[in-house]
Amino acid sequence: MNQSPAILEFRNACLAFGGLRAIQNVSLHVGRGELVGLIGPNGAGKTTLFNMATGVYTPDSGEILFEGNGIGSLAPHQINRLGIARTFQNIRLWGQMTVLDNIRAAMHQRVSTALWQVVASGSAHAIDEERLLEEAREFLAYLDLTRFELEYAKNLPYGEQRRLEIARALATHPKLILLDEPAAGMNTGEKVKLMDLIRRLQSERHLTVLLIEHDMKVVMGVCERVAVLDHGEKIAEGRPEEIQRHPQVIEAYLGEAPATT
Amino acid sequence: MSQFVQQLVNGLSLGAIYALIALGYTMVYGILRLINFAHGDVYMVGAFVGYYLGRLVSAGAASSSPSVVNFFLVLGGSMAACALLGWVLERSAYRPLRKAPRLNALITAIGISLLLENLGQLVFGADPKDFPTLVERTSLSVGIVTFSNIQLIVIVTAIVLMLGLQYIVHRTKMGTAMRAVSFSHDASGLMGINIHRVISFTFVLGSALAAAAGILVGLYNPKIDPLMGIMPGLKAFVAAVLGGIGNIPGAIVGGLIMGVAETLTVGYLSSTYRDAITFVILVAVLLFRPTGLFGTTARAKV
Repeated sequence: MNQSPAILEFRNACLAFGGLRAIQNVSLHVGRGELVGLIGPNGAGKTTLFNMATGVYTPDSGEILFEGNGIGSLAPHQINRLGIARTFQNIRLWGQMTVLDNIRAAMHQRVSTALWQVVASGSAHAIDEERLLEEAREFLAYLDLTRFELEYAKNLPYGEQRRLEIARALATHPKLILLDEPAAGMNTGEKVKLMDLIRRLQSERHLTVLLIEHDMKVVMGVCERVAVLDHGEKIAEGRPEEIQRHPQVIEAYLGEAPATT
Repeated sequence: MSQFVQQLVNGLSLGAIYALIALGYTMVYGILRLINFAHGDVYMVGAFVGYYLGRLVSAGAASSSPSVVNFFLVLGGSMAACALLGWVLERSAYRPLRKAPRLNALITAIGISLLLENLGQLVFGADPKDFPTLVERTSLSVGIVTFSNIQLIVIVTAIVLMLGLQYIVHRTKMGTAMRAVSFSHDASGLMGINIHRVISFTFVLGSALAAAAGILVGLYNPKIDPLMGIMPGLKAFVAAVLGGIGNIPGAIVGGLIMGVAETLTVGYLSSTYRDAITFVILVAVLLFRPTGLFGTTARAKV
């Protein structure tokens, strides 16, 4: 397989929770600018892999490289600043904060301020805030959330909360975005819009996208390459149409309880 | 009637002090779900730093400068010293326990509290000390109410500090990050927020407010000793619970209510019950409204 230079790479990554081997010897290569899907039955370890790539879990062995540098032992905020952002399977917005503040909180961390500067805020600080506010509004406009600006995040309809999570992730200026089941709970119309959005992230914002998704229409519709995880192991990888016919993949899915859509 | 209004004024100035301490409890709880039992002792250290600074400025060359300047010097110096103390405590005692069960941090907090109390007795001496007179006490009358300029200073200082806090929490990036972290550590870290720094900042802020309360109490009631933090610490804790722990406006309202309840008890019942009323309120809150006045019910995730 002809591979573009890796932006994210797992090399023989392993992680166990007590006796449960959650991730076993997984190697995965995500090229810069690629749109890669990660699929597998429930409990296969997909979200665990995301958690390892974002610093929530440290691999027991193996390596995780971002742009060629090991990130396995970094803290989540450090990894985020290097350029990896994510959304969550179960939405984790800051519900008690407004939509705008959700974006601003994510953006603010890129502006370095010492503790004392926060207290002794001068006019430079005010200009900074002004600029950030403008930028935050651009993110909201990009995801069509402008009309919810001052609404509390928890009061947003479900689909909008999902979009806000993506907006918040974008606000940290990532190079790579990890989307954890972005289409969950969406209706057909929303899914079509989401697929369009994911493609635009790649084409307009030059982002690399790694996507966990159960909805095969979405996966097959947007992903250029798909990796399949089962019981913590990578069992297949390839172009979507190859994956659909892959005997081990079919077995993994049929061995499971009836697939949910 | 005039006695009632008078007690109300006294209660509000006492309550303003409780409120300043309660803010530290509530902010730390909001962000770490930790009752920082050492917080009352930080307030004691604030009063003692103020005591030494106050003697320095009134003995030194600054003695000719107006008392207001001395007051601000002492207040600023003590707040800065306690901010540092708060940072050190968080860094050395609580940060290593970030991933440990919550009970460990709570027990550590009690340990730090005992440490500060006993260290205070060792360093400052166990006898009560007279807080230096930074501002000459004068009486002011408005209509039927008489109050001292000290009470006025207490209330005004507390209001200014609370407004400052509101500004920091709602208008600055660090404040936004504080609110984000108090909502979810995981999501905040993954969005690039350095949660350790935010937690440090919370301790710094809370400790500085406790120091301010220590200075104000020194002006108001000029006997200080190394165990002075215990009772006000408990009362401020009850104030935070009363307002709904984790809620900043709640801590302010709770503090004021505690102050007024205390002076009314002293005024109309007996000063013997001064401390008892605190715990009557605590029991009542826990029985009838465990989430406090402004608290929301924490619903478990399903």
